[in-house]
Amino acid sequence: MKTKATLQTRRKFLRTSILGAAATWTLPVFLEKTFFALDALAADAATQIVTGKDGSILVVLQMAGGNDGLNMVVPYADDAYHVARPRLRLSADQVLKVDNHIALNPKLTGLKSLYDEGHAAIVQGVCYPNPNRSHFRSTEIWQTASDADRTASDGWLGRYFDNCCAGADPTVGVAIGEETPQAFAAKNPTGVTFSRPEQFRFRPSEPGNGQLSAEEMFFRQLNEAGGGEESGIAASNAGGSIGTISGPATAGNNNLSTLDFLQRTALDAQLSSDKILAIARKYKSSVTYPQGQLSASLNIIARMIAGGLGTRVYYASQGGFDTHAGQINTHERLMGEFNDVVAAFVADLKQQGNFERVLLMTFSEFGRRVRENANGGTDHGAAAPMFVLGGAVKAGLFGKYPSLTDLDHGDLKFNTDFRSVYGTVLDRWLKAPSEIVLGRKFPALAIV
Amino acid sequence: MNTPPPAPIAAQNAMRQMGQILFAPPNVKGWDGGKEWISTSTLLFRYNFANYLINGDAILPPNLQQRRQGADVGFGPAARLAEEVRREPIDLSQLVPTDVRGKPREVVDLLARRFFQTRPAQKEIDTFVKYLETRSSETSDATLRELIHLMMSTPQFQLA
Repeated sequence: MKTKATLQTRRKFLRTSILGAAATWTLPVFLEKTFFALDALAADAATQIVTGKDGSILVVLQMAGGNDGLNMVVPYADDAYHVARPRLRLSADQVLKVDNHIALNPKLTGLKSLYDEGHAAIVQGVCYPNPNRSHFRSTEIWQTASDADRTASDGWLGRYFDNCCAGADPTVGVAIGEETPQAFAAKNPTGVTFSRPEQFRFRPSEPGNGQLSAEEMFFRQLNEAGGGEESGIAASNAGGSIGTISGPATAGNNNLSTLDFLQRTALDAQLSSDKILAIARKYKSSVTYPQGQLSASLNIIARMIAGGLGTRVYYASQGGFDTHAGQINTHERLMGEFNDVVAAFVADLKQQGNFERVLLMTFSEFGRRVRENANGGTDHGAAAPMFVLGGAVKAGLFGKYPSLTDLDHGDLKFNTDFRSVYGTVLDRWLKAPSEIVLGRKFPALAIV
Repeated sequence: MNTPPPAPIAAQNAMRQMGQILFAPPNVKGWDGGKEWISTSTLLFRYNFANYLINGDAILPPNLQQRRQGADVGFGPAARLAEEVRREPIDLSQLVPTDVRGKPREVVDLLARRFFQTRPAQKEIDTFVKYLETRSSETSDATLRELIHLMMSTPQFQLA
């Protein structure tokens, strides 16, 4: 197929960074311009291109709503914990002990095994200076990795894509869900979002009966490289007359007219959609996953990894952590779901032989307050633990468990900035310069 | 388009999926214009949302329609949602008069003038014409709606 050949040429071009006249004379204008722009860029940026069979992969798992860190990683030996939570406390004989001070929630049996095997790191007391207790704002801070007193519009992963993955396929970032996470927001948006692979495609008016409808075939013509060389030229002229849209001056898009840019995005969309659907059809897991949304998300991710999609960052989320009332059953169920899904995901990756290539990191916008409330729940807090796990992760406890008596307005005081975790993952796992992505250098942790 | 706007809930969901959450701009300046709003995901979503605007709720996933039929067996909220996103296909009687329907090039010219701000390149025009020609000669409403959806599912249309 013509488009496949085009992509290969583009890939090859990017890898060798040679502008071969022989390779480009047949290319539509917009692609040619892309190549020129990328070539200039390749000289001074560490462009990350993976073939899909190698390269490290980051999976970000968001626990949305503010996960109760105290009942996930439990300071069971601390009397203050039992005093502050007469109804919600988990007793010493229930919990899965990590050492003589802290333990895991009884539901986290899979996580405990991973920890014992040496594949799970627990980072304790994670937050940022001047914590914000609004879901919206604190999520924004975690997603953009900004300081609490300023706002940023681009996400930290978006800045990684912008700075380190220019020229990569859009599938360099894959978010499973209805909405693209703000972490992916970028000057040059890349990354794809879908909740089910079948959604990530052009839907014709007449639902297909297994074969391409006429509409779909014509759609492909209209969206593949602007329909050919001839129209590429006509189109780029048309685009020039409109070119008033002020594109941000980064990466490779600033030399492209708006129509060139749209045509490239349309081609990318079609290629990514084909690739994702092909992998989703071909690769099934032999591991049994539990029911539910999070499970479906990690199952898709595992299949995309098995299929060799060239993705560096996957993003999934689990909701429902905002447990203001009747927390005990809800949180137990959420911990159980999280544990069972992660256990299935890890088993799947091990079976594929990809566990060494994958690092999964959890986060939540904040923890809960130390003291339980009058409704058998907990309110918005601050510092909380994060899990980082994977075949190459060094197990252990990182950071310090915050004191339960020396509090900041009733909340745990943080000792590890979440950007230390991000920075470590960027520098040591994705091999990307963290100070460029995060704006400055944060102390690294020995998790990888 | 001579057609009612989409149901508020559908419009709201569409904007959310395209990254523009009502009352929640990305920063204090509001929404930036330009390329930041176009990605592979949002582009595909625009194409598929156009499908809904043109063809109505019949193109939505079948389970939504099934849920509507199951309205009396306890799917209250889902049934209400299905009801809220109900939409008729657009009416073509005014848009494309019957006397031009047998003439593909005239139909395409008419619709291209209507839907594109800048006339698409000849190559695209020819592709649209070829599409009509390969369909049945009587040019039914369904075929015309497919054509309009095709027109809206092009990079060129996004500039309109």
